Amino acid sequence: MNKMNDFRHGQIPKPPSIFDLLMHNFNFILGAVILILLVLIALLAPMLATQDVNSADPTATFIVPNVNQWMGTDNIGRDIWSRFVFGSRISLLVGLAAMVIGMLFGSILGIIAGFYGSLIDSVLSWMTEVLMAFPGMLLALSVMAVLGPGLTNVIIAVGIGSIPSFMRMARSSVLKTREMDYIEAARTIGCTDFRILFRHILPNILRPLIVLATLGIGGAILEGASLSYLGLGAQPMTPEWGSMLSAGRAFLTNAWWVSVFPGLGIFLAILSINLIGDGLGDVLDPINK
Amino acid sequence: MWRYLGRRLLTSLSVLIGVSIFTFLMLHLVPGDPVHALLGRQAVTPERLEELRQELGLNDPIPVQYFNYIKDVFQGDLGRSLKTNRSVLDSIKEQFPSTFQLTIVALLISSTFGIFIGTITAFSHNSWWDKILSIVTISGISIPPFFFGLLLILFFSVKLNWLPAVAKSNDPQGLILPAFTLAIGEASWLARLVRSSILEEFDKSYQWTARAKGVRESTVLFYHVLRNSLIPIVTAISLQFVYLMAGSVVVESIFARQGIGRLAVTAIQNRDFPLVQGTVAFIAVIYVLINTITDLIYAVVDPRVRLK
Amino acid sequence: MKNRKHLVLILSLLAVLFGTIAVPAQSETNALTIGISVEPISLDPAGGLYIPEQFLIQQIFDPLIAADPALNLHPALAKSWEVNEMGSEFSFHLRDDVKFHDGTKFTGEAVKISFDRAAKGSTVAAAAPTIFYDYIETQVVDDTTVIVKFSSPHATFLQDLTRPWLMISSPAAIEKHGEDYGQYPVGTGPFILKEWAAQDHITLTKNPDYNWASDFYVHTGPALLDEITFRFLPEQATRIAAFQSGEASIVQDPSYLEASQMTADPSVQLFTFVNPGMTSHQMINVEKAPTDDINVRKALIYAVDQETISQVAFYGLQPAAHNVISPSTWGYNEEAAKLYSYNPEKAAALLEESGWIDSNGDGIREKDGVNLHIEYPALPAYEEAFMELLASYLQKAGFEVNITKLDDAGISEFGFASKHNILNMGWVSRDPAVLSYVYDSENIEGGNQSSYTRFRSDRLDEILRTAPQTIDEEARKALYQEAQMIIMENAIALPIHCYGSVYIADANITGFRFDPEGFPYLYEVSIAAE
Repeated sequence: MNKMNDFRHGQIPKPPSIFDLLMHNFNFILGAVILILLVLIALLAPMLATQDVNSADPTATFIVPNVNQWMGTDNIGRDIWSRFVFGSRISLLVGLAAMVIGMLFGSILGIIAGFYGSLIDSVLSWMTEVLMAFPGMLLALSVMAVLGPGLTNVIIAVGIGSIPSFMRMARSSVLKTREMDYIEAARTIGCTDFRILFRHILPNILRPLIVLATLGIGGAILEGASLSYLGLGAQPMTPEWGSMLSAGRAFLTNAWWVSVFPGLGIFLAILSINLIGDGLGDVLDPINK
Repeated sequence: MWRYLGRRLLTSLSVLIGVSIFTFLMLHLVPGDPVHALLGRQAVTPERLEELRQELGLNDPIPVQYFNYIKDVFQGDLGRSLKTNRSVLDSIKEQFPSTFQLTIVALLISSTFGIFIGTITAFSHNSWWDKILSIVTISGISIPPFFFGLLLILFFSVKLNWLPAVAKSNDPQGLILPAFTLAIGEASWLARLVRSSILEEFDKSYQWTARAKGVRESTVLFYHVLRNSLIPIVTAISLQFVYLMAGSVVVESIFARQGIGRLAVTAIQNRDFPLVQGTVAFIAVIYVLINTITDLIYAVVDPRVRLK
Repeated sequence: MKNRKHLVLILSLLAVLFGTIAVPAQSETNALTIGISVEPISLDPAGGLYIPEQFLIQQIFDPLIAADPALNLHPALAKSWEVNEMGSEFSFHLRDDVKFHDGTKFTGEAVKISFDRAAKGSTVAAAAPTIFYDYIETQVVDDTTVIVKFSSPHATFLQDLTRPWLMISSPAAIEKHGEDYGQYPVGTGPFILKEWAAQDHITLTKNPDYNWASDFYVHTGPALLDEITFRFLPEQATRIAAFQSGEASIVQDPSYLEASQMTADPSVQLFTFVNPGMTSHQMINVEKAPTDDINVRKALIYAVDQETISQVAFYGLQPAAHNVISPSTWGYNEEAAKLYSYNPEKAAALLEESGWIDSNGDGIREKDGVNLHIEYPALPAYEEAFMELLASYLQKAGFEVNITKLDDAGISEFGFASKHNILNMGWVSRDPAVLSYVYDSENIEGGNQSSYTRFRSDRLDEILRTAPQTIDEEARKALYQEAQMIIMENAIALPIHCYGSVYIADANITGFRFDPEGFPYLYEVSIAAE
């Protein structure tokens, strides 16, 4: 961060900016293009969909992908493309909302732990360690067991599952910032804890948290779709990719398109975020380049 | 050394206590009366409800209930499934071998592929190979196991009819597709980790010293670089074991395999709380133990760790 | 101290690892593998409820009385029986030459212990207590004579006895295994439980001493198969894959799409059977708006095309239903089934008559600013195949439908709180007596709390209470026919489909025939030599 500021104010030969570097990073561009396409699909869903997502047509079941229904139809004759298009909204929303929840609660806890230290820090850190003892999807699954099925609960569960990493990141950033001179200065001139936290510390640690949240969206989409795949998420009739794929499995031998297209959607959404993350990693941490 | 050991074990112990509190509280966090969560669909009279509450000790203060829960766990009593009335501990004992088998095979696959691809990409750094493989590994991380599994079934079972989509648990053929499905994500992570650890070692000055002293290039690579990049890799592999085990939750369900992961998923779908608590706690405890052991080994191998 | 605990754990992990090096595969020529959908919960006759339990319990246990496919009664463990005039006391004369799989002798005491347990039920889900609602006791007169007493006439008892829930367990095994008895069932049946690997398979072996088969079977002595393995394959697609790859020679409930295509293939046998009992139907709540209006309820029924649902969701293998019980049930009322047929215009007219009109053009009818909204809690395990199609028919008629996916417990809670407009029900049974479980208004607040229509009719209650005690068969039939008429006329049931048993089998499977509830008699099944 500081380095970047130096570049901006520096007078002599400008080294390439992060933006320039990114624009030359193939993975980043590929990821960004896919992501932009998906976001466009999600935004324009009502215009792109050719049919109501739930209008079944018993006379047109299992139609092979063709010019008119280019992702085919499912077991009760619904147009998969229309459902795919609206499904993008759900997946992106789940990923985004879960990360907002995780970031919000994780950062608050992390800031409190880092700023106040001592006992509060030990207790909160212990709680994070405990939550981190449930590897992979296990934490989100446990939360689902308590909350019961449903899309809102999926968002909450995935969000809670991501709290520990946000909290860790926030805590360590606060610890670093806390020791800086200007915080000491603020303290000497009598600023309240609240003011120091929100005016001085928060803006400085926000950036890594947002990066973490952005890159976490991919994982959140994956977990959300997995929960729906396992039958714990979206309700029937909802065009959610994970549950569409799961429902299509019964017809795999005869109609691969029913489950393959939703699966492709989930894959591309996650891939785009991870490619962007990889590009950023290359640019910010050139050692691996 | 001993101080570090003591401190590390104490942390693990406190995490284990936390895990037990978390799983214990699960039942009490469910909205509504825990006795309803336990009873499920059974319709009972208010008198019987009260009786059950007494029987299950749900009228005791929460800390007392927790203490009793821990006491039971130490006596090997994890309760009984609400749906099947089976002992939870017996179910775990019965199902774990399958999961263990699947995890070990997946670990072999992910380590082999991960180290192989990681090494290739590191040594061909910045070449076309490196770039293509980097997209492949990112794809491997990104592909949802349930989608990858489906594609494998579609290709190898449906189209080619080479491998069974579902096989009896003791049939080694049936292990191939689930193991690959489980391994792909971790293999890709490992490949990237191997690549970056090797590249990091490349950068360090000691190998220039070695080169300057006239040591042959291959010796530098295989002796200095690889050996030193091995420590994070070995750690990663031991942690992968647990991540793979956690991943079995989904993979076992895709392939309808026997195992503790599917046991947990079905229990959650049925809201069969004693079974949920038992399986979730079991996986968490194994995770903490492996974590601890890895850290301790690491500390023995690399003295710098102890000073942290 | 702490270290030692780790050591113990590591050692036990290693022990588990070596334990996994698995059992060698067996390849007996006379062994059969059957792919079934759901793993049984418990093989204790007093503990089961659903289809998988029923299928397996029938192989391991024997009843006192057996039913042939035409529902005629035949002696099994009981050689003969008498009923008192009132129909409330049943005396049985038992066989003297029967042994349980554990070698203990079958006696009157075993009947008493089994029935006492059945009356209580050994799991939450058990079906047996519902049958034994008025059971008093079983009196053991001597080793070969027992008298079963009920507090009221119990017209269906002899038929009930042929069902798995009242089959006879070994008292020694119950004693030995206690709470785990459901995993280690011991009966007198033609097959013995050999191995139960949870989430994978159950293996049964032939009972070599079996010599007490009921007289309607085509053969006597031990079963023809040496071993049967039941593989649990939860997905239709994998069941059919297992069949196609030869891993299973019989598959229950395969993928209907493929099964319907396979009928042309001479190397495959398709067996179907329409199950008796309640059909799969939506119970319509008369207490919650808008279904408190009979016009709306009738419109729901007219709006749904069961024939197409049966074709699209089940490829016709589960036939369309038009009545609350299925045509293969004793006492089926043809007239009640003719009351409604798919007629969207009539549905529209009825809704308009009640003032439900789509005034804002969003496809949903409103009245006084309120949408015509239907709450539909669904249990995907049973409704997955048709729930979305059903909803789409209702949407076409102008209803707004909200499906909430729930589990068993969730459904019961939802229904008991009267939050639903429609809720799926179905119950395979040999007798229409099963109607009283869910249509007797006593079960709204009390009883099993499963009367989700919340419909109260004195006449219906009277019928459902007197019929089970009516010994005269013709009179009993007339009562049940009236009951079906009341239910359909009041439009409190929206029939969807009949349950059908669907099996595919290799061409060399012989002796396959269905029992009265649509399960094959595996005792008669054999594998023909190539």
